[in-house]
Amino acid sequence: MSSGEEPLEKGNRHVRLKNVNGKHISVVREVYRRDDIPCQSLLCLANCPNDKDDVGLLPADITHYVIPDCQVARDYLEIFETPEITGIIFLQTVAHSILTDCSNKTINVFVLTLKEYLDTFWKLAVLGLMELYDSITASLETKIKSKGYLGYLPTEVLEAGLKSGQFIQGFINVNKSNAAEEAFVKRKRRDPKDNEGSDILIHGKSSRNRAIHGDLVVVELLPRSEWRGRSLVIKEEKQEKEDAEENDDTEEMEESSNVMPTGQVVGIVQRQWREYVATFSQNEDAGSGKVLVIPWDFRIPKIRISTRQVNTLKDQRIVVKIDSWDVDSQYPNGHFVKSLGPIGDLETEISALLVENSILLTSFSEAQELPVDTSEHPWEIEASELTKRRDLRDTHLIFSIDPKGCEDVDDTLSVRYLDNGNIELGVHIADVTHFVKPGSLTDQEAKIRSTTVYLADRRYDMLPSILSANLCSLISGVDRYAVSVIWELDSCYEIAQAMFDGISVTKIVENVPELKEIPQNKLSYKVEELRSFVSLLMEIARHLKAKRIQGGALELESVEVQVQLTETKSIADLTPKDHLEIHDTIAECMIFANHWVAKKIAEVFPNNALLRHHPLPKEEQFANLLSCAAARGFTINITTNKDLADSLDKCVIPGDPEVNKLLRSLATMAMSNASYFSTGNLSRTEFFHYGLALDLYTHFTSPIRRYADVLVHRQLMAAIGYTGSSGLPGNVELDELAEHINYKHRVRISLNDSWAHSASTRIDIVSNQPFISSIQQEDTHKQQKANMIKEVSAAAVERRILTSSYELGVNFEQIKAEYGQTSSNQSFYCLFESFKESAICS
Amino acid sequence: MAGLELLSDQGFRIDGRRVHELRKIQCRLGVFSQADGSAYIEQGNTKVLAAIRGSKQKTLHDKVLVNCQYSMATFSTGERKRRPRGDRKSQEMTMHLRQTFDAAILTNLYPRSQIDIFVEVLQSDGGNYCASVNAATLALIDAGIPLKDYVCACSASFVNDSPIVDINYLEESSGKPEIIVATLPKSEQIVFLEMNSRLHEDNLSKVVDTAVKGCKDVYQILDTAVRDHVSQVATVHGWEN
Repeated sequence: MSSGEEPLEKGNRHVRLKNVNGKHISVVREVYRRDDIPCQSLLCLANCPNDKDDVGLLPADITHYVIPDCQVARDYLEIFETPEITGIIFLQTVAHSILTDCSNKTINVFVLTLKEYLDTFWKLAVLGLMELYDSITASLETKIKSKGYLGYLPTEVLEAGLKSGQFIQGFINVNKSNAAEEAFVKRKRRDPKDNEGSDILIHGKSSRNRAIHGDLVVVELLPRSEWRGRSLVIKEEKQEKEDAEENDDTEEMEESSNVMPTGQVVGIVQRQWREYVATFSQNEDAGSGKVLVIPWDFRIPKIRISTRQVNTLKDQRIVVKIDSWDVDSQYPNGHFVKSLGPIGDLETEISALLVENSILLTSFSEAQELPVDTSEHPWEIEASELTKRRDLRDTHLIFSIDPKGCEDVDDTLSVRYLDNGNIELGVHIADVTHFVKPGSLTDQEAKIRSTTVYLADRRYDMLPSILSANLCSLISGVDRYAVSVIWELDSCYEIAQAMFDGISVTKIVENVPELKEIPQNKLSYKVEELRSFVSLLMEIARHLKAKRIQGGALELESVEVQVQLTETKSIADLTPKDHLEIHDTIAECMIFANHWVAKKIAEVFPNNALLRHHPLPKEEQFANLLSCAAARGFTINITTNKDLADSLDKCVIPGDPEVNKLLRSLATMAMSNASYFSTGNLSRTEFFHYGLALDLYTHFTSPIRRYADVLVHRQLMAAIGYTGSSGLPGNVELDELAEHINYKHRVRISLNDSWAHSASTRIDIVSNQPFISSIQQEDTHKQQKANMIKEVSAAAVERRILTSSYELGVNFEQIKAEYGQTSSNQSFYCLFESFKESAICS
Repeated sequence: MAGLELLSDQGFRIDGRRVHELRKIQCRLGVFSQADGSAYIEQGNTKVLAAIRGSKQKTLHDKVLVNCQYSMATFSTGERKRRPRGDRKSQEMTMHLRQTFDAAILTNLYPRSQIDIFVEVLQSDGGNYCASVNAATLALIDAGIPLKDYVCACSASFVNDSPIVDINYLEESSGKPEIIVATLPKSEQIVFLEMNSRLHEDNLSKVVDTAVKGCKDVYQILDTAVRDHVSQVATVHGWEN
């Protein structure tokens, strides 16, 4: 200090800095507080040593000065820019020292919050100032909120945490009915600590921490005191779309009001970002560089893209991809990929559906080693194969029952009397594996697609059409390879002997399009014979079914709708589909075949057979059914599948068949999902199929349409010694495959029910232009069924039914897009699944 | 330190001082009873302890041998200092201190003996040399060793066309020129002058003048402190006149 001056008050400011090596160092800097700075105001009361020149820097014609602190000055600058407010002093130094040091103690200095200040002095004088303040405050709050994301933990920490059990890994699943707030993490199936079994609730956007639906995330559980239940209320603002979906989620959840484990996302193992279909919001201003687009799937947050084509793309569905999601950004950043076309157009909507469900649109690659069948080089059965296979062409009358026009026929039946009086029943399935060798390009392609996707007016094949519609398809009148399961039944239809004749050469005598059409058939000499066989078959099937139902199989309700398309592909009519007994017959035979194949492969490959199981439904999921039944005065016993089936049978109100149908639909909804698994992965007790009441089950009968069946075929071939077992996948590999197929299956189902599309759009379209596309099937479908279902939470039920419908519908759609309805993944589904299979073949 | 405004338009420095103002100086004499003389000084956040020990040794026959040891405590800087003494910087500082006091002590009064000056920097925030010199001066006075005059040191720099005095660490590390001066304030003789970085020669005299002025200010404070100390000691011992 210069001598003669009053010493300044010295203070210290502590700062933490990073040095060049990234180490933190603490630095102390001194600060001198001065009391010798003049106020330069004409109104000065403290006799400041004001300079002559500078006096009047602060005007004297006002009542007070305002000194905003730096936060206020930064956030609310616009307010201070209003010309009415004068006398503002912006301090050079940090304002918290002012707040702490000069607070109300000093004369003539009052420390107020900005709001108080505005309230006191300006509220009446300048209208609109408070509104401005509020809007700025609001925007600041959202900003603060949006920046609440935490960074992800480093990989090593995550791995260590996962090993020690501190963190949990799983796929995040956003609640469709409350996409903004709730998400659930499904623990990975292989998680050994699955004891709690329940999903983990992720509440709020900041806990979700930028995870997007489907990502594989690492979750840290919050302390038990912060756990909460899932919300029971459907968010109002979107109720139109969402109440239709609500049910799907509730089903997977625990009892709703219960507190469930709650966690927050601390890291992301794998992003499952795909391409998303999105649209611009209505009021987006044109020309601006950055635009928020609203994805079709509302579980996906809005995506910020930059495009200059807002005007051109405004009424189109576009495909966007997410690039990144920064910690400090409220929305993910993405980019525009392509436009699908105008909203409401049939092609646009269909391609939107496909993109949303990651379905491959591309045609098959050229480089496939496919057999040839042209008029110059007709495909013929190889002589070498003939010696290995059993020739059924002359000995058996093999027929298929499918709707007219079906191209990919993969299952056929035969039945005949043996000399010893027994009956021989044969199920003959197209031998796809002969053409699709493991590891070949066709095989890989099929593995990726996993399933054929059917829409009302088109389909996307799993196999190239030369196979699916020709060489593998069991078409009438030509020689084809097949895999047969043949049983010998005694006169009481008890199984005397079962054999997998594995490989056979079949010749389909005739497709029986639909039973009622047989009389019109010109092959009159065989009609009588066929007819007798079919009725025999029906009798056998009835017997088989009766046995199964006795064992506790559930018979659940489905409503099928047949869609009649006009040439312009608008929907001309929707008619409930006739349910013929022959469908049940076929279904029963297919279940029978699947069951026996499952038995065989599970016996030969106890550790790596691909089976399908249907776990016990959770009790709480029956709540809806129970309460609905109670409303009508029925009690439903859900202890075992047999009890359930029995009590459902009793719920009949004479003269009102819909009641029973409805209750069965509700029961369908209560089921858990059936899924494929590898036998090495589950304990023996978990193999059973609840809905069908079978101890073992698999899918064997539709290799043209399902990849799982192809795998099962290969296993069966190896099991009966026709091929070696060298190429078969091991347990782990098979398990991964099963997961993949399960996933694709769900996609396919969801595609068909396609809830995802904004219901509103659909409804608009439906009401404006009669029925446009497959998407609208459901809506029309909805209308059709509305009266029936209304009383019981219409939308929810319907949605569920739609989910299930897919598998069934599959084949019918091919012709004219009929919709069958079962829960595809449930027992019921299996039942109909097979029935569908049967129905395929006309 | 680019972008840091060392001197604002209103004429204030980062820590709130004006250009000509020193940091706050506080000092005490006779902090150790074992040493022959000792002193503690704080210049802002730079804190230095100095101690003197005299001994008879037959090293030089005509004058006293001045021996210095400068060291910085490991905790004196933001980062832990690995070698508290013996590194190049400390050795240089040691040498500078020895030269400074060789010039100020009346060396020929004590032939065949040695004076050890120990300087320890407890906290470093710029101006280590200045604080060390000032502390050592006080310690020598405390020890009763005859000096030509107080030795006062002060630093100065040149920012925005105006010289600033007694620069702290932040200003020191900004890359601006730095001039360190040690003077005998009464005679305005310069016993030590060091300059770092570049400075236009037109400005040199201005900056040196500022530093010398700073030294005089320091002298006022030191002198007051010494007088206070002496009167205090005298009171204790009943030497009051």
